[in-house]
Amino acid sequence: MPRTTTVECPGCPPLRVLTFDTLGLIKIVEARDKQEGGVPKIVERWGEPDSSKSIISVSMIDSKTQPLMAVARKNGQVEVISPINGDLQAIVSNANSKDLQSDENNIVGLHLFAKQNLEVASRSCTLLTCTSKGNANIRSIEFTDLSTESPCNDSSKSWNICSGGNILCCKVDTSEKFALFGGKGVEVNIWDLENCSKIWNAKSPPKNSLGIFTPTWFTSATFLSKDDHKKFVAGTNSHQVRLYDISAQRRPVLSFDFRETPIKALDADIDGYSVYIGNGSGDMASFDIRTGKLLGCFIGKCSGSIRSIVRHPELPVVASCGLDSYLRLWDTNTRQLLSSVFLKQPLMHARFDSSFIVEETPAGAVSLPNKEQTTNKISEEVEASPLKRKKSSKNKENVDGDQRKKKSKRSEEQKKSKGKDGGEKIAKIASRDKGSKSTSKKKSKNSKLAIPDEGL
Amino acid sequence: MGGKRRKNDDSDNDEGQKKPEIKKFKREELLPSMIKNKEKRSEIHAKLKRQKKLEKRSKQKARDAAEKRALELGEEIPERMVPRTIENTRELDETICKPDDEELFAGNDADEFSSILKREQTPKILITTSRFNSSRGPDFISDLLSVIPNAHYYKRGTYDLKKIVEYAKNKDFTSVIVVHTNRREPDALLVIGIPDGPTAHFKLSKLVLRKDLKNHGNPTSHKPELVLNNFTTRLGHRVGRLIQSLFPQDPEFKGRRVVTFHNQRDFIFFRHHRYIFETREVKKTDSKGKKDKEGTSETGPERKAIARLQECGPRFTLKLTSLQHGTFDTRGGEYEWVHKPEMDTSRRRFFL
Amino acid sequence: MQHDEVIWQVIRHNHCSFMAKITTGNFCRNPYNVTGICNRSSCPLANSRYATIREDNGVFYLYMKTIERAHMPSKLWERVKLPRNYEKALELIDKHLMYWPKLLVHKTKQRLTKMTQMRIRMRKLALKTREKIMTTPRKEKKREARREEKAEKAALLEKSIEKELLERLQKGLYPESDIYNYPFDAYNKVIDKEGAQTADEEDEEEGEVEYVEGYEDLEEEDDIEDFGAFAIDEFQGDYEDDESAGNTDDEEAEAVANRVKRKTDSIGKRLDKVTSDSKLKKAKVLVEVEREDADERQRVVQ
Repeated sequence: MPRTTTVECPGCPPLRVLTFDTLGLIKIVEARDKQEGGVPKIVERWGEPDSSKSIISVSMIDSKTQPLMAVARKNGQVEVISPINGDLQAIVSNANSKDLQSDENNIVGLHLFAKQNLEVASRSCTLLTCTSKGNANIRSIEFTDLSTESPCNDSSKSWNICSGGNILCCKVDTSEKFALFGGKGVEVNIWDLENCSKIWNAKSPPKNSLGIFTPTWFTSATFLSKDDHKKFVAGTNSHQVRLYDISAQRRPVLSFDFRETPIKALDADIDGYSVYIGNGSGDMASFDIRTGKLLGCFIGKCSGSIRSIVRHPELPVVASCGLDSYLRLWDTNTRQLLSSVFLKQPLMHARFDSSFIVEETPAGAVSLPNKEQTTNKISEEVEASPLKRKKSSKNKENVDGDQRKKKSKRSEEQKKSKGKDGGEKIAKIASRDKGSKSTSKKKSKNSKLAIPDEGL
Repeated sequence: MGGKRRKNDDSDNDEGQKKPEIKKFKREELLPSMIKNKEKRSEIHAKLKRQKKLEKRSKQKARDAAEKRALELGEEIPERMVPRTIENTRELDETICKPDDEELFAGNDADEFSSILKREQTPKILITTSRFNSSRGPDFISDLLSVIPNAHYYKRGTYDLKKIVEYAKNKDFTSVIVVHTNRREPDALLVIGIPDGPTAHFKLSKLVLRKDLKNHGNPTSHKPELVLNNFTTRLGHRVGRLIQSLFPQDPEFKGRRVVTFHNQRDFIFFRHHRYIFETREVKKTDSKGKKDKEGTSETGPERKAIARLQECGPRFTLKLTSLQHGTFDTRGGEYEWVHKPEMDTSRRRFFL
Repeated sequence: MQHDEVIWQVIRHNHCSFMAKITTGNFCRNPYNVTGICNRSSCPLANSRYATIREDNGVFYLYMKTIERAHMPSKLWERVKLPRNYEKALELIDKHLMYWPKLLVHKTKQRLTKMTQMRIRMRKLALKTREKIMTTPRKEKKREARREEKAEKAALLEKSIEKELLERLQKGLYPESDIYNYPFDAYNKVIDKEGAQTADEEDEEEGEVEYVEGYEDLEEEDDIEDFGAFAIDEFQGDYEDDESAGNTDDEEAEAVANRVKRKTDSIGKRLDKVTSDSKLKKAKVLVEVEREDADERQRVVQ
């Protein structure tokens, strides 16, 4: 019997991903571990397909209490949206800057400030925008109840980053004091956002032995670790990845090549030294940036240019999306494809919603800002997932085996607790397992049956 | 049909897995390959083969008999088995377009070809070659020129392809086709959509020129109509639209020319035909009686329109190797789709 | 102890690991060699006083060794960086090798020239866009060819095209005025009228056919079946005539052959129409068409 179904991927832990595509749609993909074996599915779609509203850049405050996100569209509008239900909070159109009307000058950099947002009671937000021509702007916006264009406050600061060239990447560090810009013909530079001054500018690398100078063309950049704005990684169009250290020198501390197509997406791991790299021909790999050594490639029939890579803030999951209109979720440790979702349109960005928790937990817990509790929740989920997966399929076991040490520790603890506590908890888990197992079995059967019908 | 059978397979999947094991145990002493004596081995092998043949024949007979009986009794004829082909056991692909997908249409409206396909712009094609071109290359190009209306051949010279693309932009071309020749034999085709369209790289094989076709026809200069078959997935649609944008959207049916791009298992077969519609009588046992009627009423139900074809163009096969976003740029280009060797792991996985 | 003559004797007559004997001559693989040729004057080992130029990461250096440092292999070579400018580099060589043997100075300068040229050429090649040659494994090639063949068989190309065309016909995609051979019934009526209309249409469809005979045929279209046979006869007659005349000139014969071919084509078309006119005889007429083709083929063979 020839194989008619695709190889099933091990599911992923419960998570929620928002994807942003070229037709201006925002799609929400959710994986609910407990019922469906961690198969992510499209849950919602916000917006109507319209090519003029193609999403250029996205910024999201990923907090438990007041998540908020801003989306810059091709027509020059910036929309502030609630990532929970997709409600439009405010629209800002850059009417004051006329050059925005031209196609070439899109808002490539966008950042929503989380700190100010926390201080002010949710009725306004502060935005950093940066156009590809290099006009940066910080302003705060007040939400109006109507979805009309909301007026900008007077507290808008704007400055010019570069005189020529095109800005392609813009990142703000976690302390939200410094921003990093780079692009085609623009060396990466770092600005102090409080007083709008340039504090550091990179120097272009020297000519090579033949006297040929490769023009600067940065396509992506990211800060390496959360609490340090001094080190960052940048990817160039000439398939080079460079590590810069502001405190050390203006030239890259380390640079290495990756394959033969331009680096298109970069993201740093939470451990502070490994980075994920995606390029124009759909190759994705992780590197140890301390040594510049390849840790391993992510292999999984990824055929189109990767536009965005995002690391989940807590779980060992990294998401990539791009022109092949697939959202792929990978395990960071095994570099195995956890699952992929077809989203019909070339995707521009993806974002994790880390505050997503499967509904079984009481709803009140979601809004609690207490960090410990939420982490506990997550750990619970994590605990639950390996237990279930071990029984459901063999593939998934591998994932578990390689999952992070933390979890294994936790599971050990759990085992201990099992031994100590005895009856109640085990019974609970077992019953849950049974339920999930039977449902998953049914599900798999159903899906199997459904496949040939669709195939016809 | 196939679906039904597969359902059955799925339901008794567990049994199916057990069966071969049992068979193995039984066969272990019978397997001819385990016999070392060649004569004996071939003898037993022949025996087994004969047995199989007989079995097959008897099965067929039983099937035929059942069918006949059903026909006589007026029962429902048992369904015929459908052979399992690569097409109907194709690996499931979620990118296959559904006809009621609004996002697909919106995406189509927004893509690079929509202005041509909506007839706002007439296609104008620039054909050029790789830097070295001789022998079959020019012949192929002259054939292509006769197939694609409003195509212009420019000698390559020593220009960079990027320069040529730039030139084509300035001269309002809508596509550039580059015929790549290797060892005096065209072996690749590059189709570039012009202002910012995608760049498709095809492998070209099995080229038969017009002059090498037996009994070929000569095409007229009418605009041909286009048949694009089997482009089902999103990528397939895109490639189909790219190909469609090479031809004028207002075919002159007077010319009775048809250009076909038929996709089968990711190979795109190109054919160029002239056709003619005819009526032909359907062969039936009682056609004589009806022939008399024909004289009186012109439209007899047993008369059927058929299409007759005469091949005239070149004939070749394309296989997509990559689809690049934007115009030709090997260094800084982004790919929408690249063929990678790791995709070749199943012979039932197709992308177009 | 450094003794050049002894070293040279050993190198030349015993063994030297840098020496490469090729049919064109004896060459030296030592990277310090100025000329690359194995001889007494340009051997870097057997000359205690020696100068050469080497490249390191795109920069040229003048290397010199003297007898005074012969006992310290680690400090044997004195290295001077040469500027990128060719003339300045020459001046520098002159300065450093002021009292050296003229031959050595000359050879060093020659090497500098050559290496500068090489650098220019390398740069040029690096900037030029060139085709990159990619390989495909033979296994893959064979596999693709095999699959292609099978796919072609599975495609049933002609059938699927015909099906598609008929589908289009049934959908009514083809306007009646454009497709002139269908529907037949309407066309038959037109033919029955036998007016100027048909002639018009003929003109339309076969504008390229311009033969006197053809027009003659058109005029006497009374008995179409007769006409078909007659035309063929005429052709054959024509052709024979032509052949007899054109034996002397091959080209002419060829041209005629072409013309005949086209003519037969046109006649084929007309005959198609004839079939529509007289349905009962259609099968017969079709046979005639085939025969005609056969005739043509025979003639081509001749």
